[in-house]
Amino acid sequence: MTLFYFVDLYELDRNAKQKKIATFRMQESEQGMIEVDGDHNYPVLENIKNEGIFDYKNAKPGKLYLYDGMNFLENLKYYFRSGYLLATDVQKTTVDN
Amino acid sequence: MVEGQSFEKHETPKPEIGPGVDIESVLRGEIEEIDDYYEGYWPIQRVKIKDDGTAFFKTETTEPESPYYARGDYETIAIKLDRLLGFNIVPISVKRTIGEDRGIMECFIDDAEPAIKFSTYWPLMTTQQEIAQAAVFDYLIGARDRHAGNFLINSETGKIWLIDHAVDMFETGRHGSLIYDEARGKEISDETLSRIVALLEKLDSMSIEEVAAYAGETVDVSSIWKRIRENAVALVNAKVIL
Repeated sequence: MTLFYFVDLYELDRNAKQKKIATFRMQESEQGMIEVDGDHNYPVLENIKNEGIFDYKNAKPGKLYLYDGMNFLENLKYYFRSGYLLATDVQKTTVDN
Repeated sequence: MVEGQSFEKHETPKPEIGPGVDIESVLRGEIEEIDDYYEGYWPIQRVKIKDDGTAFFKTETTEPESPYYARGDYETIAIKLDRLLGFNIVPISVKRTIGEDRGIMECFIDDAEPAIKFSTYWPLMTTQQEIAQAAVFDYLIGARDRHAGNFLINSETGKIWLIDHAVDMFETGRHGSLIYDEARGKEISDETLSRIVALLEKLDSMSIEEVAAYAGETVDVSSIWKRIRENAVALVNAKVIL
């Protein structure tokens, strides 16, 4: 069994209905390496990967990137909270090897 | 009809936003349908208002460290400032209680998208005037969390909407304003300057009670409005976005 931590990111369509645009996933045994399930060419995901997000949890200036692992995952929900874009909390799942 | 605000089904035309005119009344209207909470960490629901359109209902929390703490008070300050300036740059929202949940009802902007969807090219999707106006607003409030997910752009008209005015934006954020950074050093137009001057005149004529009514019981509004006033004076003197 392999344990993964993940965060889902949603956006809204013109009717204010949600659709999932990405899952950010990190394997417990590979802390610090986040994979993104979603359209990598989608501008929102490109922007997250290239421009990073802010660190609200530790109230630090500067940015977090995919390679920041759990710290990145934990801050997605603070960065995307307007409703137009909305992230889940960090969740866990296990996958059979 | 106010551009972008998704209330379009009135039989009689709705007036423009301005003093005495009231999209808030729409947001206080009869709820026709309320969805389950969206998927996501924060408690937000999609609400259909009878004969009017779509809004968000964002439940406030009582945790001071939460971005949803005193949410309605901070949003109220942002909207009142927007109205005093006459910019029409902040989507209308009102405090409301649904069932036992206290929160804010916020107009859903159906013809604009978060700027992050345009990545770093977002300035090309709008106009210098829109950027300058939004930058003035952010300078006045001392915006601390205006990243590309916290403003919307209508890519056809270039109109900017500023969203997500929470405690991070006014008090605790450490990240400034992407819009302000884009506009820093640029001249403020005569029209915008006249609106800032008019803002100062209105603020000077308001009593403490009137200022306090512009938020609620959980936020120190006097210090925020004092900061806004000081920043407005600085802009009027400099005539550029500092």
